[in-house]
Amino acid sequence: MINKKTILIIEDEKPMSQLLKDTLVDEGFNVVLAYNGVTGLSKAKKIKPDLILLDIIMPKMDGITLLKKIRKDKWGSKAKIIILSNLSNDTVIEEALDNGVYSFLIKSNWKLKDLLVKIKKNLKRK
Amino acid sequence: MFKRVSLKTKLVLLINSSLFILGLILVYSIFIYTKMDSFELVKEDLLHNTVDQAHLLKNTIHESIDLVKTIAQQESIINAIGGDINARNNLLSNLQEYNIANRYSAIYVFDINGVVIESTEPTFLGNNYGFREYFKKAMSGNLAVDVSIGVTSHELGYYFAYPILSKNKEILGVIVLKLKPDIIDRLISESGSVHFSDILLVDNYGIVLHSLKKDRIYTSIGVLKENERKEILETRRFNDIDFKSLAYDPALNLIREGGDLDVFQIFDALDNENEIIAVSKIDDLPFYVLIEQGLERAVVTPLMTALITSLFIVVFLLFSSIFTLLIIIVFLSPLSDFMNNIKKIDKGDLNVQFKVKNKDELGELGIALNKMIKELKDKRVELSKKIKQEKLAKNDAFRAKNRAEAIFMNINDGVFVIDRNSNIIACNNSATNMLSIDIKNIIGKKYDKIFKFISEDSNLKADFIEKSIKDGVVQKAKNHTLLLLNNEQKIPVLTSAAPIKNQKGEILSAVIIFKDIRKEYGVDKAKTEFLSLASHQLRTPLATTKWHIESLLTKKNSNKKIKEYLKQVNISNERMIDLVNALLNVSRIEMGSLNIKVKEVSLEKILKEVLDSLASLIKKKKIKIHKKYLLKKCLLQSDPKLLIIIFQNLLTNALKYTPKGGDIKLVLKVNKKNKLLVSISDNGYGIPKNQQSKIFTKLFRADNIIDKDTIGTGLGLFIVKACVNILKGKIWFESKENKGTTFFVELPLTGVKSKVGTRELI
Repeated sequence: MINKKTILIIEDEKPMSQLLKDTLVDEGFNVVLAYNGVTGLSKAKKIKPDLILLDIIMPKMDGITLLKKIRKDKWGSKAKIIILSNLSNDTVIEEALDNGVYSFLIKSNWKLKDLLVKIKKNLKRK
Repeated sequence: MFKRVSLKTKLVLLINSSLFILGLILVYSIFIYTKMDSFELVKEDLLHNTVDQAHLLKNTIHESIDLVKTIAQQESIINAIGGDINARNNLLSNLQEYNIANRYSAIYVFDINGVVIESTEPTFLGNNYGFREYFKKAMSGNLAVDVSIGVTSHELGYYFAYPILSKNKEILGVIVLKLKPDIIDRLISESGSVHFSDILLVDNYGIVLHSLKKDRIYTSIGVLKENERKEILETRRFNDIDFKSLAYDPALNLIREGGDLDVFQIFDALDNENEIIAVSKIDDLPFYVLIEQGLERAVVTPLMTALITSLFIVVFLLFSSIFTLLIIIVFLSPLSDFMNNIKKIDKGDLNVQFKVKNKDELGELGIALNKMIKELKDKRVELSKKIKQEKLAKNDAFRAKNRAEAIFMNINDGVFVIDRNSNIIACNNSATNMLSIDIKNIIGKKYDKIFKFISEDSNLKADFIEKSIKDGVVQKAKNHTLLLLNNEQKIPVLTSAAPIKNQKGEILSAVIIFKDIRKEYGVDKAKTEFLSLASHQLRTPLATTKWHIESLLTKKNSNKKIKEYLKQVNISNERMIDLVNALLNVSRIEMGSLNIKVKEVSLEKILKEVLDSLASLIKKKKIKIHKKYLLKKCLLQSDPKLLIIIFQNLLTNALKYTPKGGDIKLVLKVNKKNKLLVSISDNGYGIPKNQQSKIFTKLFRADNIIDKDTIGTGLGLFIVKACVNILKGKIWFESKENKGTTFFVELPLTGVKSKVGTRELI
């Protein structure tokens, strides 16, 4: 269990986060859920997950704001973050990529299987 | 300025003055000529008169001479003197017979000794007058004519003496006739001497024997010489008279020199005047006729002539003036007519016609002037037409200018014009309004001090204006050009610059037009946001469904999981349906293509219907519904479908955002404005204060409820507000976070009209 990687899912859509948790747990990851930006940020700082799956449109704090804030943190500046959103606004994508996001994934365009590949690949990255 | 003198006056003056001068010259010439000529004439005339007078006197004198000769040759006389007594006795009567008409004062006979032997005048008898010159001369055998003062009578007498000769030519005696001076006097008087100053009869010494002026008698016409005086004295003819001189010496000299005839001009010192004196010898007798004429008389005639001539000339002038006037009137009457016409023309009246009476120069002038006037009239008509056209054109231009100005000033877009040096030369209201500045403060200033266009991307000054002036083509600014306002606010503008060229193609200025596109910008942004959000909202359930199905297909999961996943798929699908419906409604509302079917509806019924449809949710959440209907019959003219949508949404929200066991209060009443007021109050989560303003906007969801319910479309209240608006109502709310919210819907009891649209809300 020592090698288990922790993934923080910050996502307000509960069925979606539950499904992702189920899937990732099945794949052997340690999964923590957060349903809004504020709790997401505090959890991230607390548990320092190996990877953060971040939604953009969320109550209380949106993903981009969270991203910017986390990047200001010492740990957070190097944290691996994958944006997982249904928002396909160019400016938002650009902003996310500017803030050191590895991937900006449009949920409806990705299969769960491919998402897992992407997550694993990302975790292997140094 | 010259004083205006009419042609008529000028002509009259000219002609009359020239006539007058001519007349004066004529009068003067006549006067001079007459004077000279008349002088000669007078002289000649005088001479003729003198000669005539002399002739007259000569005849009278010759009568006596003839008589004395005849008597001397009478046989009876000769016989009587010769001694015939018979004859001697008859002598007196004989002599008396010869004194016809008593012309002679005496006829008497001398013997050779000078004694009067017989006389008709008895006093002579016996006297010896032998000293008399006439006796002496007769005794020498000649005729003697003498004038002397009688010794006895002391009267002047004209003596004619002739010798009486015997048959053998011996002088027997002398016969003498003494003529009465009256005869001569009468003669001279009768000869019409009134024309002359004086008619003198003088003897060969120049002694005046007869004069019209009695005092001149026995004067001498000139100064007598001493010897002459002596001679006269010796003849004892005039006793001892001292002859005064009349100072007609030239005449006396003529007599002395034995001249016959002459005329002299002398100054008569006695009469104190210039006189003409004509002298004529009477035949070969020792008498001279001298006629004296004052020179004035001579001059009177030519003066009279001149006067008469002048008179004639004056009369002539008078007539000529009248004549001239007539001529002028006749000839110049067209001229005055012309003058009047020309004055009219001068005042601008062209309705004149020059009368053409004659085919003379004036007539031709009239024809020419008439022609000119006609042309002038035509020209004037043409000109006024042109002026009218020009005026119209000017008006058009003016209107066009005004129109252009009005368009320029009032066009909604900001417009300003700059010269080549980038100075503002014109600016319209929209431009100044946008910057909140006064037009006075910007004319002549560099445009970039006023209108600061910056590129949104680079944050630098936009260079499209400079480019336009440089390249001479219209330059559109890049998208995202901002105009910096005075309050540092940046507003997005759509702007372009166009060069203004002259006919040569030189760029004189540029016109810059810019449009505040904040609204468009906002709309654009909203559109983008809507699209992005809508897609996000749509994708979210789709993605959920997609991944749940994918999980189901992996078959790894338990039945329980499968059931749970399928439930989730169903929920997501329902959400999708709701969402799509809501979006469709929004698009219908926004497109204005909604059907409105108005009929009498009971709000109570509608609310009941809505509450019934929500009954399961109410039951599930254990919410208490408190109804407070303050109306007997709640009927109104409205669209029931829209009303259902409104209250379904509002009640659903109240249910959703109120925790379990909460209360919902429904109040229905008519307010003071006589409108239907529906209020739906809950004691739920409320709306955060800072987000209340956005509550009716599309896709908005308050933070505090997204946490609690992720399913909301964010379109409900937007649709509700749209529907209320359609029904001419009003919607507002009061809310406090965690205390609850009350929505108020105010609806008119009547007055919504049906509208046939293409769509209905779902």
